[in-house]
Amino acid sequence: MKKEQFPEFLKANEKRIYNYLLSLLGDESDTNDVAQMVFLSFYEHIDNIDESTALSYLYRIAHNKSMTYLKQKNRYVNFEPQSFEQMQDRSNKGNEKDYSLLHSAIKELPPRLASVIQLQYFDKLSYKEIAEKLGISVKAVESLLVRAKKRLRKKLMKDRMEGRV
Amino acid sequence: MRCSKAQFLIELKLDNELPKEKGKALKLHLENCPQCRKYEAEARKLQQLLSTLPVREFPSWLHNSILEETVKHERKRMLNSYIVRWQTIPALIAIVLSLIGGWALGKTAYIRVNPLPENASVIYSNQVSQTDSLNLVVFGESTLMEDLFYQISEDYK
Repeated sequence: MKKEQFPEFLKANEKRIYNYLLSLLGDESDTNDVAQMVFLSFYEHIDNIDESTALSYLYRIAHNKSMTYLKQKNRYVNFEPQSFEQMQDRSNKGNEKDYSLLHSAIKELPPRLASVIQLQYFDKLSYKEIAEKLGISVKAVESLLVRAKKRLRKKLMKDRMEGRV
Repeated sequence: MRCSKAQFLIELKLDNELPKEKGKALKLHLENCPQCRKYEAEARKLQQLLSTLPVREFPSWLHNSILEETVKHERKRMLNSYIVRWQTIPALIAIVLSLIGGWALGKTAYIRVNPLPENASVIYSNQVSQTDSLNLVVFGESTLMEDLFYQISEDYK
């Protein structure tokens, strides 16, 4: 890929990567930091990236950067009073809780599976379009989506059994 | 049809990607399989949950910030490449100077240890006209032959 293509690529993929990062990190300010790191890392290696697999590569960077960020963040415990204010109200029952569980289930998906879910439900793309975006076959998309949904359902069921819902 | 196959097809059906010819077979299976009907209901729930997941907009300031950072990165990269390019010149000069310095030091040290006689040029010009083998061993005042003779005479003493 050429460097001149980067602004266009950023415009086309920023929203989906942002939402993916948000589901991984759960915090807006962390997501902003990591989104910047992800796109800059992509830009640094843009000369060596093939256009057909650029999106898969971007998802992998996003996943790896998020995991590293979370690991580093967990080393330090923030005791500022503001952090308590930002904590989620666990007593609040409703749709938001379901989404947080879904987010945590998506978080556990490998980047390859999470990317197909993102492309299908956030971007409302067909199997064929997803295949083109990720540079894989339609059969592979079918298989990835089924596997991803199976894992999501398993995780949600597990949470339900443990009484988190 | 096996349940695993049917469950795979259920996912395709919910995504509106199921081929028509397989739809009939799946319908038949679902009529006779309560387990797969349960699976379909659960899959539909997940589908609904995923489709209603709120989508957040990418902040425009972040978009601009990323583009600015890429410009900065590009500038830094250019600067680094210039620095690397310009660093080679002083490095080459340093290598050449050290070679010249080493050669000069070596020469001075050699002359101090083995000083040339005053009539060295005359001796040398005389010896040049002699045989090649002699020319080969003559090097200033000190020669391999002389060293050898000196060593032998010292041993005899």
